[in-house]
Amino acid sequence: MENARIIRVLMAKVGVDIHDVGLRLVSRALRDSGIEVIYMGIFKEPEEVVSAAIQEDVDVIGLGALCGGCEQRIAEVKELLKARKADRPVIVGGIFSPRASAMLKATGIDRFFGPGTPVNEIVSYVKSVATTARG
Amino acid sequence: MSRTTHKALADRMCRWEKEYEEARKKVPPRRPKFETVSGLEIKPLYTPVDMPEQDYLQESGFPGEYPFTRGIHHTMYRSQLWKMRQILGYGTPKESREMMNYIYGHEDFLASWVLDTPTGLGLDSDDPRAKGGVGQSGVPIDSLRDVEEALADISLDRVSLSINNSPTGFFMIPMLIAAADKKGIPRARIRGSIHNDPLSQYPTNHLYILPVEPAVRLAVDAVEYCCQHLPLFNPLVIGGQQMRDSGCNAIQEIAFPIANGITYVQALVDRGLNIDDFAPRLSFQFRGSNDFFEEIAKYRAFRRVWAKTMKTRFGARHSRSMAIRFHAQTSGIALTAQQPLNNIIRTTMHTLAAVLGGAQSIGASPYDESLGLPTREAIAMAFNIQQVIAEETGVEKTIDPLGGSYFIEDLTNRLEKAAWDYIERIDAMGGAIKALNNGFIQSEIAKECYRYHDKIASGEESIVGVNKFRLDTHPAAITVFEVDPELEKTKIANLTRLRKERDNEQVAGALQKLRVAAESKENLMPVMIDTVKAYATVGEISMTLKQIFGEFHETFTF
Repeated sequence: MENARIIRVLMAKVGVDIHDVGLRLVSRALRDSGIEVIYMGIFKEPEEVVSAAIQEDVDVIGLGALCGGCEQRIAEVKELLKARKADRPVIVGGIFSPRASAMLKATGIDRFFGPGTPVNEIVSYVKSVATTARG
Repeated sequence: MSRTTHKALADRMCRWEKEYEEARKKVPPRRPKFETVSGLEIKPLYTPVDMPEQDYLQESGFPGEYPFTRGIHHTMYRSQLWKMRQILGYGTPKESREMMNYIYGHEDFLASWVLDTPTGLGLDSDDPRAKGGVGQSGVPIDSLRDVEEALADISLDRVSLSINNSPTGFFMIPMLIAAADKKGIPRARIRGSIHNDPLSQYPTNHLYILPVEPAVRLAVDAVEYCCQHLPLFNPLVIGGQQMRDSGCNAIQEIAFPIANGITYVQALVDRGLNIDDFAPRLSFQFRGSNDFFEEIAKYRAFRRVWAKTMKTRFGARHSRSMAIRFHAQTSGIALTAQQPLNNIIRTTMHTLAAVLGGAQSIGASPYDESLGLPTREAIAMAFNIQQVIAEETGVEKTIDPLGGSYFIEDLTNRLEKAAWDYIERIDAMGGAIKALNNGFIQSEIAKECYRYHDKIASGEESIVGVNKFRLDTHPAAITVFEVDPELEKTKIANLTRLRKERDNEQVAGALQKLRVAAESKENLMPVMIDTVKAYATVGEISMTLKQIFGEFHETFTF
């Protein structure tokens, strides 16, 4: 049955941002709620993330950024997904300048989660968006 | 009137505790449990009963005397205040140089460089993996030319520069030496410090260039060389701060860096160096964190544990080998993006605890730390925090003012004991490298990180403005600093020009010599100095060494 399929989420950071505490906390919350987390960690290239997302057939991709300049690489993930006709929801956590947020919104990032967001809110959103995407 | 005997006091304490329990029934406590952030229970009251067998001379001692619990110098702040440092670095060497001039232009302040992440990973600015990250979180260094440019107005014998980076010690120290050589500064007069502590990076920052053992070898090469040729330089600043910012507690922050320190010290001793010849040049760095009294006790306990380690384990004889200096950089992880001006208060408390804990130097984190690199306003405020504490509070007028507090002494003792427990466990595993390779350090830090996070998520612990006293709109808006993305292009263009202008045959020859030296057991520093003088790049040097030593492949987990 469609509803019984476990939601799969790929969690990663692209570019050279070393901060991973948030990524790990959210991954843990997703896993504890019954979601399968494919955890790639940090220092990933957009190409690696997109290939893995396709290969692992994930429902949602979660990316994070706590350093300026990361938004370029995050935008590349979305662009590559579209180019490969493999688009799927991409959610992003972290801290972005208004300029970076606007740029990412324009590329089609589904949702931003800023500092202080309760992890339950992220888990609920992932569940709802994954189910909707599958239609 | 006769003095109260210990037994009489203990009996009286029992009575008070019963009265407390009765009073508690009428006015219930605010919390089910009172404990420090590291999980140490806190009683309602501490009295002499809590330190029955404490021998003052043995456990506390006097400042400047073993075990240095109360301070490492006889005079401490009575003669000289702690050094006040400010971290800087962004954009290109030119921007970083301007910021350094701004900081050194303030009479009492010294600068610390943070290097950008590509440099910390051994990547050149034009490496595709560096894209978007050049100069975003620190100074981008591609070659000696960048160091020379950034230091154009600084004389390394007259100012003390600290470099807050670990994996890059093996080329940054040679670059500092080369830059000094070119300015005619004698190596024996070079001042400053560099972290150069690779072991602290693998479980925390994930900043590494080489696998663990070669990285340790190169770090030890640098320490050995500096002890012989740069007597004023501090080539190893062993770090607890990365661990704290990854979520570890105060006990782990003492124990894990000390375990790493034991590894480095043992390696130097194994090379035939006399402990008293190099131990005085070592120092540590911690995060100044929340939990005010535990922080003060942490610094005191740390000094005692290290002193005992040097004396008992390594047979150090010189006082300066056992009296360990430390820098406190106030917390990053405790600062919030929400209502960021609250961070001024947090940083003030962190700084004050470090002062009361006897730090040799302190860096106060700017209030916009959680939002980006600091604005000038935020840096000015960070200066002010240190200056107000130093000039207006009076806390610096006597040494170790909280020494003798029953609570502080009890906390110091318990933190010390808990740290020894960890050190013994790591010893039993075979040392810090084994504890790292088997994932012990990482899992202990992660457990603590999650424990604290769960307490915030449940509301058991509070963060003002985050899960308590939230304001939907805050009256004070602050400007957030953004690094101009054009600076990355500038840096890359400069690197392209360097690659054309330098003598590429000389570079190739130098890298070949480096390759040969790396395959031998010789100290790599002399060859590395020649290599950087040829203007070999960070990426070329790192790649050459990776070809010999291999690459570190991390399995990321959560």
